[in-house]
Amino acid sequence: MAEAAVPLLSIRGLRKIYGQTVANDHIDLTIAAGEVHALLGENGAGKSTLVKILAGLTRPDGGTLHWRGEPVHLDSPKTARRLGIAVVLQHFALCPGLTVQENLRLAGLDRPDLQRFKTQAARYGLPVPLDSCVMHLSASERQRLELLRCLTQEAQLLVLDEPTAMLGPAESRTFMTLMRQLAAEGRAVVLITHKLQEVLEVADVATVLRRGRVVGRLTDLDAANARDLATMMVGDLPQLQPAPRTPPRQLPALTMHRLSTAAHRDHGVALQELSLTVRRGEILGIAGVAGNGQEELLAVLSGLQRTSPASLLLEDEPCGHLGVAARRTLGLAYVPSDRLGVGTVPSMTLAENVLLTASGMSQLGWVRHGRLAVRTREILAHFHLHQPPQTRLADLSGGMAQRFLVGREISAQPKVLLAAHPTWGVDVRCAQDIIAALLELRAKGCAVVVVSEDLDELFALADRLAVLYRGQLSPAWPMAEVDEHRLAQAMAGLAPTAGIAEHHALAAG
Amino acid sequence: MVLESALLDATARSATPLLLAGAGELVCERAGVLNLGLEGLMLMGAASGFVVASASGSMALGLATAAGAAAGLALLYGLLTIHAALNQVACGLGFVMLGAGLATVIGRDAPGQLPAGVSLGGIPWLERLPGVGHALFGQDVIAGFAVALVLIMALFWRSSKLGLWLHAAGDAPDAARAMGVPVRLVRLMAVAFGGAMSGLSGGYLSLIYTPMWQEGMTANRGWIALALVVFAGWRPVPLLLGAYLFGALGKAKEFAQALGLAISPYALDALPYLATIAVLAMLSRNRFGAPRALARPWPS
Ligand SMILES: Nc1ncnc2c1ncn2[C@@H]1O[C@H](COP(=O)(O)OP(=O)(O)OP(=O)(O)O)[C@@H](O)[C@H]1O
Ligand SMILES: [Mg+2]
Repeated sequence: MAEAAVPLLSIRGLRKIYGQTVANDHIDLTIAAGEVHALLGENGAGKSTLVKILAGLTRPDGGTLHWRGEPVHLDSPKTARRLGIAVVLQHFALCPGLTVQENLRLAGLDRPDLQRFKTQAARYGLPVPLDSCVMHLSASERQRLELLRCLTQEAQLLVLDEPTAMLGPAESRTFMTLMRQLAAEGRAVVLITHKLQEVLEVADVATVLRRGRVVGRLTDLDAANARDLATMMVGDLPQLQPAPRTPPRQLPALTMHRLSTAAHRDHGVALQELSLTVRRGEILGIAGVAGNGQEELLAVLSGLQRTSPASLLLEDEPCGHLGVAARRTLGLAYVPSDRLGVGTVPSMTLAENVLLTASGMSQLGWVRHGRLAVRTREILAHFHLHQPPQTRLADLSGGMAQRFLVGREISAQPKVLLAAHPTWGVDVRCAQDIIAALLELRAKGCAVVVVSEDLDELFALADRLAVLYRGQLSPAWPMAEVDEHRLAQAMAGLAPTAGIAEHHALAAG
Repeated sequence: MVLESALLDATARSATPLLLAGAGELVCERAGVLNLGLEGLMLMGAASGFVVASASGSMALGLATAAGAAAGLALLYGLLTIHAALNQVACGLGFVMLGAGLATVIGRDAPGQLPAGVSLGGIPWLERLPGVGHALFGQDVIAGFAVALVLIMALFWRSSKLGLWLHAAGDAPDAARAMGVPVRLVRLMAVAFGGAMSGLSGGYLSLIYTPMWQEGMTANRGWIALALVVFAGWRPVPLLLGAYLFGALGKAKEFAQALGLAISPYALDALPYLATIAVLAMLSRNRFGAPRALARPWPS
């Protein structure tokens, strides 16, 4: 660190106020070239606000920024980019109607950059369908795209807001290696994550925010461990009591019977004859690398896409032909991967977002505002959100929006809950809360299907685990028989399917 | 041969105003702004172009004025809807009336006819192009210009930076801004361009097509152009085909006569409407195309 004398970026007294909320309160931060700087903190701590300021998207209300010792005003994304700051936003900056390649060009990648993008994607085995419309990509694929884009942009400072929140372990590790390489070249990386293991793996320095203030700095990450970091972020964590798991009941809650779909015209995976039964009181995890049919499976299970009636049963009601609303009345709830847009309407208030899916909130066509407010408050209280029901959803932090969405779906008291990475972007404490809530649903006899690339999440929740690879579903293994190695092989399509089936038959018999 | 050529000419003439206004609106809507005021802007162009051309005796000056005046009015519309975030539907309808009113005032003392000698020639060497050459380039450069404009637009539609900016601004303005697109500026320029093209379209009507000035002379062509943009699925080449299809259908009676077909004139009059329904039905199968952020106030 020869250049330590003049840091790449130094932030002094940065402030940002939204109405009543002080999102950033006199933040001091110094980022040196060649370091990976972890920025940590609970949901709503103000991390993304800081990122948006560095991206030139939001004007701070006070404070100064110095770039290589010179004062700068980041008044537009263009200024930020010209200085050499590349950013991955928490909810991405992609135009859904344009193709991947067009988006990359818009983001400022010229021909050589694009070439490098392709080589990197190929070298690290991260498939990105360049000619597909972004709207056909799953949230995880978008995340991969954004992160890869940012890493190829030859920026001096990379600011990454939860860039690996939805990626699987192998893929995350690849990106961690890439980040270290960039740091070794003398660039700097600001990494925001709730995955503490990642911090310990790649970061040189960590800064912890709480309620907009810097509450801790760690320069010696080797000595720290994940628990210390967690305590710094959210205070003392109660030791999670592993809930005694009652065995699932025998009654089927959701049955797929030779469920198939055709691939979308220009992108997507065809689901091939998926057959599986999820019982009441059971949590089924579906693992796999993003882009292997997860989005298609969720669409067909949730009713966004319809199929033949008999290929899908809710309890024993054929429902493959039913739409979303009809399936909701039958007791299906859904936490989609795209929390802003598919899951909620960001420009509407929290109460309105509850109204959109809740039943019994209107009488003769009139909204029962009293009831709605009560229900909304219940949902908010469940996951410790203190916002009033009139808050616009777009004004919540990413993790808060996720809490709201999960809370809303759980409050519908479903018979079957379909959830795509339910703990995406929530802090450690809240992840525990969400996991506890899902286990509680399970105990009440609800069947839960969790589709995720994040193995930690799946291991914490699932009773059985199946792997989706190129539109084919492996048999569901009981957790006792799953180890990471076998799983990694199945996710890479290396495990011979017949062998798995045999193994499963042995286990069952 | 002479007859066919005359019919082609007639088609090109009735298609050109639709194509011009449609092309302008296409760009404007691609950037996310719905401008319902086309009819008013066209009238504005028609009146101001006619007045200036008859006073100065210059066709080119008249057309330039038509485009400029309407672009100015459109800029005002842009400031109100983009910068002050007024409702685009309400504001657009207001501009239909505003444009028509201004046109009436401007054209109040206009002479009944253009002074003799004010005209715009064809392009001599392109005119001899076999087939469509005469229809497009024989009578006026504007018909040729309109076609060329739309073809150039198609060429750059999604492969140039400007084209991508346009799409991004109308598709996801927040993401576009984060990627460094000056969303407001792009939208404002798109609206101004749209205004200039509808003004030119109006000028074409009052200076070349008719040629004369009369209140309400655009005869709802602005609305047809708006519909054409939808029919075309917000794409340039289908817009070109659509405009010529509608142009030809408008001349169906003449075609039938020329070919000696005994078809009821009422049936022929209904043709454009039947075609509209057919095209709509065909296009409704393709649900993509509408800019996602069309007519939404931004930032929301
Ligand atoms: N546009 C906005 N309008 C009003 N309040 C906002 C806005 N953006 C953020 N906030 C508030 O500012 C606070 C900080 O939000 P921020 O998104 O920075 O949190 P975060 O640290 O990124 O959290 P997470 O881990 O959940 O992503 C939150 O209380 C949030 O509700
Ligand atoms: Mg955030």
